[in-house]
Amino acid sequence: MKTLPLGLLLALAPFAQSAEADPAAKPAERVTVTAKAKAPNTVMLPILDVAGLPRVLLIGDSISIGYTLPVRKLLAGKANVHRIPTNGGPTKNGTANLTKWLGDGKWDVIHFNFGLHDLRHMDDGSRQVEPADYERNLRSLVADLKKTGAKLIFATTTPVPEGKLTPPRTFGDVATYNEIALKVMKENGVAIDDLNTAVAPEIAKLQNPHDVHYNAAGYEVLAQAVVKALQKELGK
Amino acid sequence: MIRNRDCLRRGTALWTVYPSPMLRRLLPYLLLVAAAGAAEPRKPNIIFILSDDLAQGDLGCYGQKLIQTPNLDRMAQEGTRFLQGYCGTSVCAPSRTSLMLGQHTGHSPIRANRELKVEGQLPIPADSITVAKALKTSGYATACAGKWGMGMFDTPGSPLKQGFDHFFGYNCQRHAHSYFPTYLYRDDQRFELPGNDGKGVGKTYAQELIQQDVESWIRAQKDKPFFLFYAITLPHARQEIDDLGLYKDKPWTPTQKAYAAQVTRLDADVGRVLKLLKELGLDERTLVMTAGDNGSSFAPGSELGKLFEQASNGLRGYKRGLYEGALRQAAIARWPGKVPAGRVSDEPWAFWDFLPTALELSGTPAPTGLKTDGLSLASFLQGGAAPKRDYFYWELHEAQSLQAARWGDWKAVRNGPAAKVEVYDLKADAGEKTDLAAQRPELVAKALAIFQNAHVDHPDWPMRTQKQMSEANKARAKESK
Repeated sequence: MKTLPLGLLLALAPFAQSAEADPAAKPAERVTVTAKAKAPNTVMLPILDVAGLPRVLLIGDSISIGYTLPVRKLLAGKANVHRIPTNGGPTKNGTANLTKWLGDGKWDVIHFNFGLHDLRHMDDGSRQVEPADYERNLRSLVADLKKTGAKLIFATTTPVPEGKLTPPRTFGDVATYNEIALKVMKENGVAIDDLNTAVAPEIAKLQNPHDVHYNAAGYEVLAQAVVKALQKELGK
Repeated sequence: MIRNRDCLRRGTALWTVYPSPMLRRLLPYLLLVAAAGAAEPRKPNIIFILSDDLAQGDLGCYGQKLIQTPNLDRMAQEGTRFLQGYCGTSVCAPSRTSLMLGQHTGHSPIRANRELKVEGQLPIPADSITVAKALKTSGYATACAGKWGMGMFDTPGSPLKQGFDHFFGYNCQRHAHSYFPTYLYRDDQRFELPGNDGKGVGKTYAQELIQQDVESWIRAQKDKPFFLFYAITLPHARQEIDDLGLYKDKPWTPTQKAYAAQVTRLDADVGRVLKLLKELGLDERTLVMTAGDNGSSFAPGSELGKLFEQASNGLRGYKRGLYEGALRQAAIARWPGKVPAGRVSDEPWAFWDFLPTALELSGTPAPTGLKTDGLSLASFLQGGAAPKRDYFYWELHEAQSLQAARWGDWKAVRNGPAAKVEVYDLKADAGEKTDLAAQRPELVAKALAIFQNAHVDHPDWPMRTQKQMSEANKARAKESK
């Protein structure tokens, strides 16, 4: 392996890039890719606010990591698009870290998602956060997010492909978890960005095979949907 | 190479534990990272150590005979010493603001020490682009220790809102006048110091705690490049020290002994930082700059100025003025393998150059909306020539609104809006003794043009005469009652 030529590695890189996801992948997430021809992976770094523009916070897992840079680019000059400096993981990780993520800055819009990590199966077959706990955690998160005074948007959890996955997830659970989330958001008057529906029709073209992650075109579609939802709230 | 192999090993270990399809895709990524890690030099650490009211002439390497400064003298031998490094202006808060924001004092939001009740100074604005904020966008860990003076924790100027992950020390400049204070801050949390009353020498010497915090913070920075702004309060008044050391039995006044011990203590603490960098193997990865926040702070004939010959550089003026003695401060840069050893440079530069320098050295793109007056010293520090520029400019709004400019070897000073412009030829007359204004009206005109160009109006800093300033101060005092 040590003798693989650099050129080959570079050629393989685009296929590998979307694999930044679960805790198992952490070593790769933390490192900045700095081959000469490529821009450094800056997605986790803080950004500086451009004065006078509204401040947006994106909260979410690796799917949101994938659309952060395209969203930032699409809203350049229109909004300061921040993200949490990490993979948001399941709701229980959100409730533990939300205060830290929010900091003491003022947010105009907060766009958030939890789900893919909640419905992930653990070694014993249980899900990382079972539906009843997912609902309870979401309610707690929404209550805390409301206190910021920001406009809130919940993004629905994106599809899990059928078949065997690593780490394991079950196709049908997405609908279950989204149903819970939509109920909680409706009760709380939180706007919905239906990312699931945005990618579902063309999912075969957009999603990596046997994976919950997306190719560049997939993240672009997600980013367009996120921007549309953000602009709706920013325009209010 | 070592990091490269570590990375490969980590990749292999993951492969063994999780032989999953996803990891199979991940592996080339890890390998790419490994390969790139070897090709890309790590971003340098940057430490800026700012001393407080130190005169050039206080250090052995600048000619001091009575006070021992072996560490800074060695640092100068191992690095580059600057004879014409200019501060932002000649008092604490605006000079620091110039350093952190990359702006001269005709342009920066803070142009005097403006004291606020109960604690703290006028804060820098929320949307300020500081060195720390900018370097964070490049993945730097950031800390400020010592004295801040640019806004309390509950204002937009808080160091923790201006890009620093960590703070330790005094926020308020008045609080920092005590070396045995009743409390300090760790981040924004106040903690009490046992055995101190904040009025004189007590049991807990604040600088020792600050130094210890700095050392443990540096030790904790393993994974990230870091930026440390170490604003040591030494040797600023009051002249309080836990140990008179070498000077205990000198035939000097208590103030003189304490001052000498403060300077030597500053030197020792810089030495501890340099030793730690060596121990951690960070020597060649770290640029360390030391500078004073202004030039001499005592008159040449005063108790301290006279004994220690603080004006041995032959320069005129001191703190709160804008002659060269107030503006040129003791500055040294050290970065083994990058900054030439033993170089002594008489090319001018100024505090507002530090922000663009840090951006270039860290590979940080200029943030949108950045309005810096500075030029990067990256090449100059590494042995090149200083950047060419049209002029340097200073303002100060203490007793009255002062202005000064330097272009080429010409220096102009106007001691208040009603005063006439003085012009000096620094090449022939570094001591600013012979005012050429009457003979060279074209230089006066040039100075006025620079003043006009460089001064940006700001509601807090109108140009005021002594009388106007005193009235404005009275009105403000009345208002705050």
